[in-house]
Amino acid sequence: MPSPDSMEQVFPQIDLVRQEIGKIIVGHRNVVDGVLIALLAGGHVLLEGVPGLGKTTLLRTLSRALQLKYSRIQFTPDLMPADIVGSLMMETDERGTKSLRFQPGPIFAHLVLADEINRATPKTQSALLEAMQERQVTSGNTSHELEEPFLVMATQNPLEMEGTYPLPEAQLDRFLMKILVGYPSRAELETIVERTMAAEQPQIHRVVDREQILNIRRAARQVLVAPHVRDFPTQLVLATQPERAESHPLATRYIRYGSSPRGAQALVQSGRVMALMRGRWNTSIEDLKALSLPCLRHRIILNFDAHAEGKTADAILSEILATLPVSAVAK
Amino acid sequence: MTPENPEGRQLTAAVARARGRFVANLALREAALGGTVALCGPTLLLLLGRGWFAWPLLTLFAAAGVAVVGWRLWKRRPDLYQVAQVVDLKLATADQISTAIYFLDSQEPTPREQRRAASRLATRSNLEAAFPLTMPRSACALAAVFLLASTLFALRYFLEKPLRMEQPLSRLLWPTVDGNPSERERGQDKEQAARETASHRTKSLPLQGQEMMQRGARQPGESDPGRSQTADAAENRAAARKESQSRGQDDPEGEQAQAGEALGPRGENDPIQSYEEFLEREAQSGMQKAEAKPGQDAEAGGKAEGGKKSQDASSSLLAKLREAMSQMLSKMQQKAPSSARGQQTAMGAAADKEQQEGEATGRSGQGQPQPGAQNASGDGEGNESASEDGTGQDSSMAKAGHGAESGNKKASGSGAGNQEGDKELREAQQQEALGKLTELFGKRAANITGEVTVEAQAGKQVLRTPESQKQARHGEAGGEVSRDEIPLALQPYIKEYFNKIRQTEKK
Repeated sequence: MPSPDSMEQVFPQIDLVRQEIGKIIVGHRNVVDGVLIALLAGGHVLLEGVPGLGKTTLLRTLSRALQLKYSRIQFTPDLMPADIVGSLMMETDERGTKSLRFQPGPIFAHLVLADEINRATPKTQSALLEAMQERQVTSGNTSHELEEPFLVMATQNPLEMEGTYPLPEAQLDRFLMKILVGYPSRAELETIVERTMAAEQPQIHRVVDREQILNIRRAARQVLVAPHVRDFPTQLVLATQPERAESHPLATRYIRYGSSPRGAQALVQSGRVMALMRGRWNTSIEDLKALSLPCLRHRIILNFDAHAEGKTADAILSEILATLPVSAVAK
Repeated sequence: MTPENPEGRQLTAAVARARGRFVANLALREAALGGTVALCGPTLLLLLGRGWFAWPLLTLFAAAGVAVVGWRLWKRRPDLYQVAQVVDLKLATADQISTAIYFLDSQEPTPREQRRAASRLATRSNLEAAFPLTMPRSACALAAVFLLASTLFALRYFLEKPLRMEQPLSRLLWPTVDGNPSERERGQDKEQAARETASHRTKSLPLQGQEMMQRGARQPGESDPGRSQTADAAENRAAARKESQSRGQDDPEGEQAQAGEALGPRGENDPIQSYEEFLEREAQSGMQKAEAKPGQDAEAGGKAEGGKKSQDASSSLLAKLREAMSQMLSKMQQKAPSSARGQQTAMGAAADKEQQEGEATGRSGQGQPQPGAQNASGDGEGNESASEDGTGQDSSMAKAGHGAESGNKKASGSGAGNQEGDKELREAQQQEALGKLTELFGKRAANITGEVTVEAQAGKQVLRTPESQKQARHGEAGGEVSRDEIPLALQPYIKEYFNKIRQTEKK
């Protein structure tokens, strides 16, 4: 358990990482924070955005700033599970004895970028399932543990849906957050252009090592959550389930399947890290509200009426959040 | 709850101060509500007066107000944690204070750090400022009820200058607003005059009775409400008898003629006051007619009487009689012509018998009539009409028709002449015919012999068993089709389709 003194050192470390990433990534504060939260909460993140918005650059920058092992897998339709997990190789020693040796795949890294994950076949996509959830890989009869921290950052392109394999709900549920990467603003775009014209690329320093990352993770688990704050994700998740008595009218109308309990878990875990990043030892309802959309938008499945009326998961969740009672006394 | 650590004590004290302000606001709100309830008592008193709303009920309302305040305050009193939540919400302190209050007794490093941070926050910001003393909404209700009570008080004081609070406000308002004093006085005068007239009439009634007795005549327009019409009629009859007796002694020959003159026109013109009088008049008129036309048959008597009664009753009786006679004549024609003379003799005897019955009826009318004798003497129709009219006029028609009815019954021995009898006869004939048919069929069925062939379809015999309840879904057979499952290949087209629809709607 970290002492308060060591916990006091957590805040500047997170700020330092943010500053280092900010040298390369312009804007996208929520995307950077989301990826950091996923890393510190022990989850995985799915980034969705059109090409050229800096998704890959962000992860590469993060790996350099955190001094972590980084690997990138470009998902294509002919990618096989062994290409991700690794395979057994025939090896001959000095005596001439032949044996099988496990050659780890690119998944054996701290930060894994699964680029355009929806272009691979479901068989390959499911190869990630065990790694993401169990933090281990099984090849043959042997299971291989993945080293912590382990973050899968998958990207997918909302365009060009032809020839793609949308991620099944089971796999989507394993991502802690789904972050939508939008276009930069005018000022941000000008800064990007200015930096591109610069003669030298900014240097990224390693500000936090692996041990410090794990220390921050432990500190995040110590963040306090009061009962009335803990009640919020429960209420929210129940409100999204249309068959429940506590469901929101919009959920009954537009949602086909509501959020799973993993959604509430993701909210609390992410909320704790966010509180830590904001310099507090307690999670607040505001933290959870801010994280509700990225944590739940990929966990609810809309019905035909929602699609027909042009409703998005974000719009429905925002309306549910606006009407959700916060506190018993405040009511 | 007094925590041992100094930062906890400081935080608790700050939140307790905020709680005091919170409770004060709450008490203010509940007090306004309780005051509203309590003020309803005086308002009702001012509205209804002491007659409808007793003074002790005021204490009941006051007690109810106090009870409401106490109960709601006790129920809603918040603890420190709840107050801290409201403080966090109002001061936007990201749930730091409430979390610290919740983990007040924990000795772990993180809660201690949290308490320290919350204590610093509480010191920096004035927690009591989160609960400024405000006027509650329930004060509006209190003000409204107070205004109403004040208005009622002013109105009542204006209406009854020394405030007595006895009558309801509506009684005080109506004479002033709706009633004209002169009209009221006039109405009171009318009531007084009516009362005096009634008392005067009651006193003068014995004198009138004496005068009537002396005159031996009855004045139909005047009637004593205290006495029954039957009693009046009996007195009048007694007076008339006395008079007639005195005249009969003087002139016995002209008694009947005089009675015919006196009663005949009077029976037609004067209203009948009682049933006894009606019976008496009827008997006298019957006697007159029997004496005047001894050979007249019952039909003629019925016609003569029926002319005085309602046309509907006479027409129905006549129709019945006509029908009976025609049927009887038709039967007689069917029989041999040799027996025609004997039948005519029989008819003459029947007519004589009817005439005798008519005389007997007239005699029975002369006797003392009993109230219950009406049912015995009259038939069903006569009873109904007599009871409907209430005067008993139609019962004479029924009696007069009684002879004709009895003759009718004798003539229609076979059941003819009465529609109901005809119907029964038809039904009997039909049933008889049906019985014969059934017997015929039964005999034929008993004698039928032959071969019967039953053709059965060749095929697999299936045993039918009761339907069993089985839980099954279409999905188990792969037949479930969800409309939400849009094939991937069609999704872009569907999206495009709905986008076009939306664009069209916007336009």
